[in-house]
Amino acid sequence: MIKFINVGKTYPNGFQALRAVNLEIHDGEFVAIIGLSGAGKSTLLRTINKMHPITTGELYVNDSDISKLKGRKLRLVRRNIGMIFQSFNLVKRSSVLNNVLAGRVAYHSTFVSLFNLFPAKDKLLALQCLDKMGILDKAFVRADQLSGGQQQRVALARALAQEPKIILADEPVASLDPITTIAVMNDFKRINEDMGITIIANMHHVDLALQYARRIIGIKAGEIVYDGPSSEVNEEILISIYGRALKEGEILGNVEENNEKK
Amino acid sequence: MNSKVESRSLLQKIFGKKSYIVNGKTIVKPRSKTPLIVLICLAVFIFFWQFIPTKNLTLKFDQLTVLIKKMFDPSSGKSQTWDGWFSYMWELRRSVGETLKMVLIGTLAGAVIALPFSIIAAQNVSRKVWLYQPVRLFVNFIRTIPTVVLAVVAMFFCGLGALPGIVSITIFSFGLLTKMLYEIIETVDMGPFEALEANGANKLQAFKMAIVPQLLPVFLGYFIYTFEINVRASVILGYVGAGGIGAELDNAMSNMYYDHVGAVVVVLFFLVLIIQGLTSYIRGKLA
Repeated sequence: MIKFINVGKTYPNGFQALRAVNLEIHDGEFVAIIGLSGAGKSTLLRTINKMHPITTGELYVNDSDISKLKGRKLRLVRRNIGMIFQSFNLVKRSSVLNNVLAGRVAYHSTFVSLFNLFPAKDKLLALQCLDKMGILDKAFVRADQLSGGQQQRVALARALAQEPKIILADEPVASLDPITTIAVMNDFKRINEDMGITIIANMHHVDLALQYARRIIGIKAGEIVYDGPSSEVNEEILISIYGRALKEGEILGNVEENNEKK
Repeated sequence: MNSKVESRSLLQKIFGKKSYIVNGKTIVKPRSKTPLIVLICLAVFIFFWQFIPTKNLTLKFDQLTVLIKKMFDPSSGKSQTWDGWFSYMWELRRSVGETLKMVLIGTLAGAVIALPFSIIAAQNVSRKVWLYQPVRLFVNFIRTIPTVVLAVVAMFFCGLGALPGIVSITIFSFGLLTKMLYEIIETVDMGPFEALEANGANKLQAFKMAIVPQLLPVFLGYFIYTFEINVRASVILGYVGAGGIGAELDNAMSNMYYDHVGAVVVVLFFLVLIIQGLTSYIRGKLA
């Protein structure tokens, strides 16, 4: 379970990204965070694994106060939280298998990763994760040889290799084409339903968020303006999140905008 | 078409702003700095021109031809016959071997020491000013010392022979490679590093898994480049007493065995040529 109590985040430059956030996310939920660019979606997501430390309040991940954790204890909590990025963040020059093995690093000493001494058990686990994502045949291909959708699946396999309880996804489909987007969102759904892994995803595409997530968190200027089931999101709520009504073409973030991001 | 460029005088064309009028709206291209920079460079050049001595400059081309003749005329030199000249050249293989060993060991040792220093000196990995600035300062200090001076100082500590050569090549390679390495580390994609940290990896693990694979080909390329520079530099090192082919050159010069000088020069020419060809081939393969 993840619990935010009056969490605030002010960046060193004085920008207040989060104000008095109170949230409770239970195990096995599929949550989508929506809001304008700069509203604080990414910050909210990254406070959960302390990639961005919070400045006020308390934040519990499975009963440990993450804001007080440091060093080894923090790394042990991070080990249980997978993270997916918009730009995949794979090591492009390394093989797919080595990228997935990166998810196992925190289970071993520094020595093991310095000399690539991952045990056969880990390699088998990594290959199983690749198989779950349907790209087992790419295991020994260099990561930069794959398409965007395949790369995001490698990133998902890397997260699964961590055997995580939670997966955080920061705009996971924002740089993918519409067809691949649906496929990757289905992967998330499968991971959530079959393995019971909590999924928290930042989404640009409102209709995808409503379709896949069971719970929506709307955020505006660092404050939560909506928190509830996706089935209850109506136009009024979207106006409160985005500041005005969304037109027909804006609900699925349009394709041209996505292409620009590449 | 109601678009035009504002008309200007020649002086304005060189130094002024340029205005485009497009559909009644004006957009101004800012003043270019290039003409000013060209003027400054020209002024500096003219200022330093006067320091080049031209008054007593007499080119003694005849002396040059005399020297070259002596270098390739064994009958008037030490080796007396062409056979002797070639067998001297064959004997040089030991010095060439010594030079290559010296350079290889020195460059390798320099590279090994450069690796941890460059990690600390890279701003994006170490992130702490008090950590990377002193290391950079130290490396820059090392780099200001000429290799020949390093060799002379090393000779005080280790005597004559290959060892001071190895020491000075190590220090020189360390300085050069550290600087080149931390500059590439600062340009790598930090996305995978962030992903590794989010996985629960510590900094060293994240560096190994996310940055080393990006670094390796570039690092090998720079290593080979440094090796090539060192082969050429080692000749000068030998000249000041650090062994290898340079020592042979020094020996021949001080005894005025100009035919031997010629043999050494020919061997050096081919050595450098072969190494350059080899290294650019390997570097091409790495890219």
